[in-house]
Amino acid sequence: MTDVGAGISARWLPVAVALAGAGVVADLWWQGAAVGLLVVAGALAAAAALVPASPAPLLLLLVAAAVTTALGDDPLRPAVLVLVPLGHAVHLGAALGALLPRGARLHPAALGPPLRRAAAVQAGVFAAVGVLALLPAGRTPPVLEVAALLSVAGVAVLVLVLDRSR
Amino acid sequence: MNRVLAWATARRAAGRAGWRGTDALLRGAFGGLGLVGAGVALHRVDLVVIGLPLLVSTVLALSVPPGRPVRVTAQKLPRSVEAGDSARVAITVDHGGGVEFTAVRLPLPGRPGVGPVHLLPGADRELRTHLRWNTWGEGVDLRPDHLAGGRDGLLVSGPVVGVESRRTVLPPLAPPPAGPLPARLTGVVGAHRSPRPGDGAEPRAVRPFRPGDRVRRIDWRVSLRAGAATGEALGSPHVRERHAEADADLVFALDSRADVGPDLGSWSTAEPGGPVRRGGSLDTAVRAIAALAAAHLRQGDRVGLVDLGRPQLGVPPGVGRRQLLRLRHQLVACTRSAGWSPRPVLRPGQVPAGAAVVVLSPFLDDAVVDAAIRAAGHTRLLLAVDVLPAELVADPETPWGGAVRRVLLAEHRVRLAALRAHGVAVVPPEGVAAALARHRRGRR
Repeated sequence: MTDVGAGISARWLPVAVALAGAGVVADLWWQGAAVGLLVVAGALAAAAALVPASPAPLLLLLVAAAVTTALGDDPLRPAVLVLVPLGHAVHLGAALGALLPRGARLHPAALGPPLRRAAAVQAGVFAAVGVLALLPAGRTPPVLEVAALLSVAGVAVLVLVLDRSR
Repeated sequence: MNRVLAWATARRAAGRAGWRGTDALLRGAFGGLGLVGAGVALHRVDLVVIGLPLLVSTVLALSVPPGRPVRVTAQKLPRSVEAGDSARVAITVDHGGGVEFTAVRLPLPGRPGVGPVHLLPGADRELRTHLRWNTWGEGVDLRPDHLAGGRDGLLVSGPVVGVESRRTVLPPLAPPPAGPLPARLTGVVGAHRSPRPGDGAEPRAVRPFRPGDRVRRIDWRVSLRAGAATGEALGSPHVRERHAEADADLVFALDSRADVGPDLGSWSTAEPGGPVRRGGSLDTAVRAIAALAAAHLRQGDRVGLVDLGRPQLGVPPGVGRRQLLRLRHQLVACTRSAGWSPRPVLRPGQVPAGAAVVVLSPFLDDAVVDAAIRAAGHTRLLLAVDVLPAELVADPETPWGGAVRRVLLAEHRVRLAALRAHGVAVVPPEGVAAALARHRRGRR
């Protein structure tokens, strides 16, 4: 039997999304993005915080990824690595914030499992980044590229087919 | 392969059970796949690195499909409670697993209403919340609307509107001093002295014995003294007469047409959170009626209720604890749709002959004054209880606020003066008992 207390205000979720979004914008500014792009990214970050159940978080991540790719050559530079947890935080915060109406209360125990899983995912991704940093930076054999693309397409088809029941 | 098939079967069952994907699922699946795919196609590892957490977390989240939809049931509570009571309510959250979050609407401790939505761990299946009823009235205090979320909130079921739990919070019973009431001539039992001779405890007179008197009523000491005075022993036996004891009828007339508070600017707006303003005229009147009714019913009087706004809601006079409960329920019913009647109704048929009538009103219109004066003509005693807040505050948002306040107070004073001029005593709510006592002393 769990006693339901007052919890904390669920406004902390949009605040967390806004902070992560601000981190993304700051990362883009650090990389030397144009002011117009920063304005667009800032607007998307604000929209992601205020309307989490909208395309704004996805657009913010896509804009940030595109700008990051365009502005640097080193794929494992700090600006990219900073974007990995920030993007995940925007995604997760918006996902939870979209569940709750205005004035809701948040009980910190509810955040335990998703935060633990997010930490595990981040650990795995950074382990993969570590492996990538050790690999040679030369061109990948075409056969391997085609296999990778087919793998990604296969995962996409699998998710679509298995999720049809939605 | 068998595990994949089992997953797919469970996922299809979840879809049939009402689970659906959210924007976060689209974001994780298509955003993650798009970034990783674009990174592979464009030979950009940074895109893969940025998209990988979305893709991996989405796959991990979807790997545990949720089961049957969530059902939330609340423990049954009594339909009526006392103001100031509190209770702990058990709420059961039943689901088939795979639920990481439940968002349930539950009341906040110490706050009225159904409360906000609480985001709780899906593992908590037995919840307990605290209800406290501070304000009397009728309303919904529990409605567990709920929504269930799968891992990372990628799949949701709901929202489902919960079953409303309505309750009547009875007006509180403050302990006022209970005053005596005028005796009713037709009664022969009760706690009040009747002017008629009877079998009560209070002595009435000593008089010569008459045919029909009971022998045990003869006062032998007085009789011997009277005989000694006249010179004949036992010549004129005297009896000691006692007053009869009578029950009294008390009828409260509640003016439910207006509910006003001290702030004049809020008179035209409804009270948020309930039909009655806390500390307003209707609240004051209902609390006074409940307290006085309890005191008078306790001493054996018959107490009734008249709603000046809706005569059909009246309660005929009665006695006992059930009558008190009935009166308190009816007071709540009277306030449920207060303020919808243009004219007060107080007919002679609503008041038993010989009853005392107490009219509780803010006296904001002439109609209630007319009704009270007319009723005073056919009742033994009528008291007017002014429940208008003592200090009225002018509306600061209009330059006419001060003038409106002065006009209202002047009209109110004129109405009270008219009542007094017609012999109707006007008292504050806390002065009813004293006024009834004064009336009785005057009758003696």
